[in-house]
Order: sequence, then C-alpha cells, then structure tokens
Amino acid sequence: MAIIDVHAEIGTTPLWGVPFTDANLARSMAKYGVERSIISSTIGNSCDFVRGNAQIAKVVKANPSMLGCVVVNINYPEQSQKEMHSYLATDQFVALLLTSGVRGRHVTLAESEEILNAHRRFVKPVYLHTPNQAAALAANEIAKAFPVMKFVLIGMGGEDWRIVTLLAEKTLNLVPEISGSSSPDKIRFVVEHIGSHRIVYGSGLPYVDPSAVIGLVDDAEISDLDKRNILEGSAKRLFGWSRS
Amino acid sequence: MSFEIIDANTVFGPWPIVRADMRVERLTEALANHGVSRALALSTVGALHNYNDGNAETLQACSAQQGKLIPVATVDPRGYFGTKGMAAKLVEQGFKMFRFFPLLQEWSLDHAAFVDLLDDIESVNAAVMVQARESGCPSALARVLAGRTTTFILEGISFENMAEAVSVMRKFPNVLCDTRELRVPGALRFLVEQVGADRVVFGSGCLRSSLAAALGYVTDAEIPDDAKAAVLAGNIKRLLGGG
Repeated sequence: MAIIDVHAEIGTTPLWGVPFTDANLARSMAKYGVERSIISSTIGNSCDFVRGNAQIAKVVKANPSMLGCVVVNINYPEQSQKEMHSYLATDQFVALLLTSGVRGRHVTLAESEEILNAHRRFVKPVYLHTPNQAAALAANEIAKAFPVMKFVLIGMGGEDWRIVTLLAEKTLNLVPEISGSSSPDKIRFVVEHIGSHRIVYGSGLPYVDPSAVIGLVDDAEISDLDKRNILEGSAKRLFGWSRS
Repeated sequence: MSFEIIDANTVFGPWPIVRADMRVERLTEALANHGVSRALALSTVGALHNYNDGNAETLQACSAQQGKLIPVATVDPRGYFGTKGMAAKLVEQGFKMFRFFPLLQEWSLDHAAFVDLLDDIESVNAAVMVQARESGCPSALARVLAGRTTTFILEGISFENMAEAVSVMRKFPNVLCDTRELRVPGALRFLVEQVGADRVVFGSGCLRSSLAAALGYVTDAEIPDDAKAAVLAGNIKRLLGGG
C-alpha cells in the first residue's frame, strides 16, 4: 500500500539540534513505502519562516517525491503574503501552514483573516496546528468563515480528537490529520463519524516515528479500503492528484 | 559628562512571537546612534530554535562587526546531556558570556540539566545572565548558587521583584543584576544604595526593548557620576576581563 505523508518537517530539530535532512526523510520514506511527503522546515516552524521556506524550496527542487508546504506567521501578514506569492504559484508547493509564532499556541480567525483572504487565489489546502480543544474550536471558526478552502487539522486536536471529529461532522471543509493522540479508539471513531475519505495521514517527523502513526492505522478495526483512504486516497483527492 | 557605554543585553535575529524588525544591522545602527561602544549580543535562533545553530549564527554575526558585538552563547538545558567541557569549548570559540532563558523556554531554575551546565561553566571564566523578570526567579536561582564562584547577572529585575533580587544579592556577592526592566523613578538609585553601584550592569534588551529608553533611564538617574560610569561600562568591562 502506497502512503502519502502530508506533514513532515526537515532541518535541525529545536532543542537538541539534531539534523534531519532530506536524505534522512528519503530513507524513512523508502522504509515505510511513502510515495510523497509534504514538508516544511523545522526552523520555519520554530522561528524564521522566510528562511525555512527558502530551505524547502531547494529541497523540493532536488527531490521530486517531496513537495513543499509554505509556512507563514500571522504576526507578519505582509511578509507572509510575499512568501505565498513566491511559492504557492508553483507546483512544488501544495499547501499553506498558518502559524502563531509560538509552538503550542493556535491561530485565531481574527489573526488569520488577512492572510486567508490573500490565499483565496491559490486554492491549496491550509494547515492549522490543533494540539488541543481550544485550537480545534478556533480552526472550526476559521473553516466556517472560509468555506471554499480545505483546512487540514494537524494533530487532530491531540487528546481532544473526539471534539475534532464532532466538529468535522458539521464543518465539511475540515480534514483531520491523524498524528497526535495515540488512542487506540481514535481512528475507528473518526472513520465511523466522518468517513475515511476525509482523513489524512501525517507522520509528524522528525518528532514522531512514522511507525507509531502507521501502526495506529494498521491496528484500527476498520476496513482495508478505509486504511488505504487514510494513508493515500484522501490525500490524493485533497491535493487533486487522483485526477492526474 | 560623557560616559563609555557597553550594553550587556542585546539580541538580534528572527522574532516570531510578535512583529519586530530584529536585523543585526538595526542593532548596530541603534548602538551607533546612541553612542554605545560595544554590546554583548546573541542570536534569537539560539533561544527559539536550537543553541547549536544559534551560537554559530551569533559568532558569525559578531565576527562581522569588528569587535562592536561581543558574542554571548546560550544553551537550552532541555537539550543538554551533560557534555563535559562544552562551556570551555564555547569560550575557546570566543564567547564571553552565557545566557539562559528559563521563562521563554519554560523550564525551572532547578532543572537538573541546568545545574549540570552551571557546574560545567564553573570551570571557565565567563559570567552567566539568567532571565529573572518574574517574581520568584531570583529566589529560585539562589537555591542552585551555593558554593559557586561564577558571576550571575539577574536579567530583567523590576519594581516587583527588586526586594527579592536584593535579598539574593546580599547573600551572594557573585550575583549582579541588569537595568533592562527598571522603569520606576528612583529605582536605580535605590538599587545602588542597597547593593552598591558595582553590582548593576547596563542592559537594554535591545532589539526587543528600546535602547534610548533604557539608556535615558540610567543617564538621568540621580546617582553619582562614578556610579553611572560603573553601571554603564565599568562593571561589565571588569567581568569581561577589563578589555
């Protein structure tokens, strides 16, 4: 079964400073049968999105199996829009990640409205970190304000995955990404409520080993078709690759 | 009377938390505009991303400024595994001081790896500046200071925790503080009266805080000129080895 990883980061990790390069990611992809990975940069996520996006642009140019996710920061709306114009017009960048500038702090509708209005022209999915219930509720509010866009909820609300599932039941442009909580009940619950065609796989590399998240899907009491959807099919539809 | 000014507390680099122009060029421009001859400086990458990358960036930026910027190293204890001799290596590379950011990075001052780091720094001749702007920080630091000879600078002491800082400084002669968060009229004079002018160093927090505001506060303070000279440059020069 081929896998599409919608969420991995490369670069030196915060705190430990351990390098996780495109070569490391390529090895991991080969090991787990990952066909494509959508990547952003560790430093882009931690403190310098401009530098991070530039790093990713070089990596995706050299690695056809890797595609970029443009990281922007709601505290820098003009600079963020410049980054979007530079990268999102190309085929090598397929998603936008909105960050608050502080790991663990979610973005809100008021803070992200200007950037999202500018993003209308690109028609590419928007990623939002949702480590908890508050982040999920804020993401839901954003998704309702921009119904034409798809919002990928990275981490699926953490331990609050039930809330994310219930929100996604009503807000149809929410797409849960399953890294986050390792609850054995999570995958079946979300499939039963919203269907596997709206759930995507993200490894969370280099902070989470792919074996953990893939194992969660493998172990879930759902059909093989559902597993294929989560690991590949839903992402293909989300990014428009099923037509190509 | 004109004073030599050395700023013990400056930073440059990306700042994702709020919108800010923190280019190193802006820092050197601010220093020049306000007659600051030298500044101890550090890249925010070391505090916000990882210390290896940040320290490399600090060294590179400082070496391009012909002595105007003095490199300060940082280590995040959450990513420190007790490598003996790390402090000596950093000093050998040219770093003159160590800075720690427990509030920004959300770790406590009794963090076991931080204590290990302090043990490692004890073997080198370099001062340590620690974020201490919240009530409780000076006391928490005091609990890990027994027997140490390293000079510590409490960063960001304000009206709210000055009594606490003074208490710690009276017990530990190797503890100093900087002026970054001093705003209350007369606070510097009071501090100098309590602990002596030789225990306070000028630090602005530039580029996160206004250099003009921090400098104006010290130059306008009602303290003798020799005390101002000590605060603005003399004390930190002594810590840096007189250079």
